[in-house]
Amino acid sequence: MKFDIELDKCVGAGVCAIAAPKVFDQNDDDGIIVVLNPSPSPDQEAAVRDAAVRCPAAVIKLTEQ
Amino acid sequence: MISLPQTTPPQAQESLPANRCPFDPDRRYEELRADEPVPRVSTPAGFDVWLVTRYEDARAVLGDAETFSSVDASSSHLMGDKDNLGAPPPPGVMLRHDGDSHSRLRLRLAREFMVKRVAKLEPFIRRLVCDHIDRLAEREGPVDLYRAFSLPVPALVISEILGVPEEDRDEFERATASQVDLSLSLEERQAAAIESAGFFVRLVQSKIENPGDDLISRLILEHTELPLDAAELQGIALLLLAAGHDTTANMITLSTYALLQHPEQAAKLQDAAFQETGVDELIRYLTIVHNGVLRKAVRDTTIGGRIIRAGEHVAVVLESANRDAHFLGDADQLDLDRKSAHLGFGYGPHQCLGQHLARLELRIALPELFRRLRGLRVAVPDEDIAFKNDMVVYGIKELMIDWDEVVA
Repeated sequence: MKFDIELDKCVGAGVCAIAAPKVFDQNDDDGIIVVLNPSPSPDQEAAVRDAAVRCPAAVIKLTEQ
Repeated sequence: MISLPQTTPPQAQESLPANRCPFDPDRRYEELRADEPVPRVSTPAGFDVWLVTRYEDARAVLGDAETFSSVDASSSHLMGDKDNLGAPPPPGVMLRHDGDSHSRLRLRLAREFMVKRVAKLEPFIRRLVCDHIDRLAEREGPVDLYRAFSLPVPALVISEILGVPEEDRDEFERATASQVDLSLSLEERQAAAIESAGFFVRLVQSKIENPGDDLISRLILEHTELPLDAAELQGIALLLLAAGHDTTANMITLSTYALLQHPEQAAKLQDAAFQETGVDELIRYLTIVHNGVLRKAVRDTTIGGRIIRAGEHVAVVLESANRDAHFLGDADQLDLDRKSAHLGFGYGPHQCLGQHLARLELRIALPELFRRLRGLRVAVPDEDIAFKNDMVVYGIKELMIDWDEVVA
């Protein structure tokens, strides 16, 4: 699975960090998205998909299923 | 770009559906979602809006802040002055700011409410919850859960975050409780609002003179190109209180009542799954931010097949979207085990800033109430319970509870 991040759209809601905590975190300075793992393992894919659909600013775009 | 012919929107034939019953949205929403998903309705503030009732359309509006401005957000159609629509947003009140003006405020506050930061408050919240249940144990029931527990716990949490000094917290709690106390007259509540506004002016001034380890002091001390001024800091403090405290209080009270009505769900409160998904399902099912979240189109667009002209208002009905069968099967059922991309915290760049704090407070408060108050029950007949149909945030005005014993 691959995904792109549109950093300038991020508002630091942190939904990704609860949906997929092994893949996403929040920057200490402003709460915006930090990618911990750019190539999530198959057992993380459902969580990443959940993060993408729940992100309020549509920051996470799945590019490869 | 295709230019659309100008037309005047039709005069609303219906009023905003606002009769909840008691956990479900107004019954008319189910029909509207099926037959007329974007109807024109009249509102309590005296102007007409387009209502957005479907989940997909709700996401489309709230997710497109370039087309839909928050200048009149989020409740001007419920309690605003229609002659003041489009007025510049008050300083610091970020829910009415758009674009860069919004991001400047939002990103400075996001770090204060991020997941790992909020998690550090857990011991403090746990102690508050424990102390307030201990205080219930000293009293004879029935007791109003809303005043004795649901309101003070979140009020004390937000005062800790804002850095309200210990000795001022009683005054802070009284002033904030009075503002939402419907047994007081409008004048008394307005006086309480003015008193608490004065309270924030003094609070910000004291932090400027004598900064500490709290949110307002950090905003003051931060070195940045665009520092926040005192008026913005007061706006931020007021907004954080208003948005973050009565909402959680209403969720605690309404969730308690809903769980007492759904004992098979209440049985799951002590499970790990509740920690994971249960709170979000309660937030979806109850959707207390109701009667529409207001946006204003700044250019012509189309939503749900309906042409929306620049300058027209759209109210996104979260409680309807969250029950849309196209979004979630069995959406009218409460099921604490399920996960969903619900809109209970809104959607788009203005989605609830304090959502992780709200989740944590509910995750601690609800299981503890049900675990420690053995035999917890409502002490009045269901028909005597008054719901807040008429208010911006839904809830129960007073919930008299009783119990058999309080365990440690």
